[in-house]
Amino acid sequence: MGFLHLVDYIVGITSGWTAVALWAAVCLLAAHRRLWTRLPCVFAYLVALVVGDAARVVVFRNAGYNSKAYGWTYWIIEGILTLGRGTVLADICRAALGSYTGVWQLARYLLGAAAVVMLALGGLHTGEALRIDSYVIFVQRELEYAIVLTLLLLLLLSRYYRVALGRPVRGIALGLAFYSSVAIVCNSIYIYHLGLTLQEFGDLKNLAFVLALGIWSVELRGPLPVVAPPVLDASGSYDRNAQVMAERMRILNDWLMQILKKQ
Amino acid sequence: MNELAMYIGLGALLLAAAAFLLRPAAAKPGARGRGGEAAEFFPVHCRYFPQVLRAFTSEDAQYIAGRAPSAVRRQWESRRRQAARMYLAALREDFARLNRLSRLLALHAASISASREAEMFWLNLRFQILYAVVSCRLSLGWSAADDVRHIASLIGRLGSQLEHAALAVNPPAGALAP
Repeated sequence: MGFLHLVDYIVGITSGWTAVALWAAVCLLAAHRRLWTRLPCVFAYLVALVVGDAARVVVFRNAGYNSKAYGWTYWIIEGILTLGRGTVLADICRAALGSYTGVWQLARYLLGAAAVVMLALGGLHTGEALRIDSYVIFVQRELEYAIVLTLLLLLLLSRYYRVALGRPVRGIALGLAFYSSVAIVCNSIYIYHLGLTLQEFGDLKNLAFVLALGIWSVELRGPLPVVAPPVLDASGSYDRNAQVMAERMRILNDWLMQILKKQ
Repeated sequence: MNELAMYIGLGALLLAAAAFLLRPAAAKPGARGRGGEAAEFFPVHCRYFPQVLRAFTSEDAQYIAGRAPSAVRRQWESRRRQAARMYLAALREDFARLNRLSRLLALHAASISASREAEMFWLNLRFQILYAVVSCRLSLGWSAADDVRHIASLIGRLGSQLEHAALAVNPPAGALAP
C-alpha cells in the first residue's frame, strides 16, 4: 500500500485550487507559445480543463463531496473532458498528416471509420456494465479505448508514410496515450472489482493526468519550431508512377511465388 | 489476480506500442532520405541479371559434375545456394527501394488513389511473407543443381519482364528535394 500512500500524497498536493493553478500554468505556457495557431483543439481543451476544474472545486466547497450537485458536476465535466480528448486526438491527426493533402484524404477516412467502429463496439459492450454506478466508468473506458487505438492507427500511418511527428505533436500524443492507457487500466480494475476503491481509482487517474500534463509542459518548454509546408505535386505524376511501380512490385511477387511453386 | 495482471499488461502494451511508434526513425546507413536523388530509390540489383544468369548456367554444373571430386562439387553447390540467397536478399533491397519511392510519391501527391495504396500495401505484405518463406527454405537446404538452374531461368525472365515494364518514373522535384 506504500505506493497508494505516495499517490495519495501527490494527489493531495495537486487537488483543489492547487490543481486548478497547475492546469492554469500549463494553459498560460501554451498561450505563451501560441499553441492555438498549431493545435487549436488542444489549447481549447486546456482552457476547458481550467474552467471545468474550477467549477468542480467551487461546487465541492459549497455543496460537499457527497452531494448530488457535486456528483452531477463531476461527471458532466468528466464527460466533456473525455470528448475534449477526442477533439485533441483529431487535432493531432490533422497536425500530423493534414498538410499532405493526398495522404490526408485517405487517412481521415481510415481514422474516422476506425473511431466510429470502436465507438460502436464500445456502445454494444455497455451491456457488460455490472452496476449502474459503474456504467459511466464503463462508457468512459470504451471512449479511452477508441482514443488510444485511433491514436495507434495514426502513428502506424505516419510510420508507413515516414512522416516524423515533431514537437509539440509528438509529446502531446505521448501524453494522451499515457493518460488514456492508465484510464483504461484503472477503469477496468474498478469495473470488475479487482481491488481499487473509488477513492484510489480517482487518485491514480489524477496522478496519471498530472504526469500527462507534465509531458505536455516539457513539449512546450521552448518556442514551437517553424514547420515549412511540404511541396506537393499536382501534375498527376502519382497515377502514372504508381502504376509502373505497382507493376514492378507485382513482377517481383510473382517471381517469389514461382520459386515457391517449384519447390 | 490474473485478471488484474491482464488489465495492467494491456495498459502497458498500449502505452509501449504508442512509445515505440513515436520514437524517431533511425536513419539507415547509406540512406540519404529526402535529400537524395531519384536514382537512389530505383532498383539496382536487377541490372545485374545477365551476370547472375551466367553464374548459374548449366554448363558449369555439367563441367563440375564431370571433373571435380564429390567434396568439391558439394562445396560448389553450397556456394551457389549461398549466392542464390544473397541475390534474393538483393532483390528484396530493390523491392524496398521501390516501396520507399512509392510512399514518398504518395506523400507528396496532391491526391492519391485509395485502391492503388491498398494494392501497394498488399503487394508489400505479400512480398515480405513470400520472401521469409523462400529464404527459410533456402536456409534449410534446398536441393542444389536443378533448383539453382530454375532460379537462373526465373532471374532471366524477371530481367526481361522488368525491362519491358521500363521504369518511367519521374518523381516530382518536390518529393525528393530536402
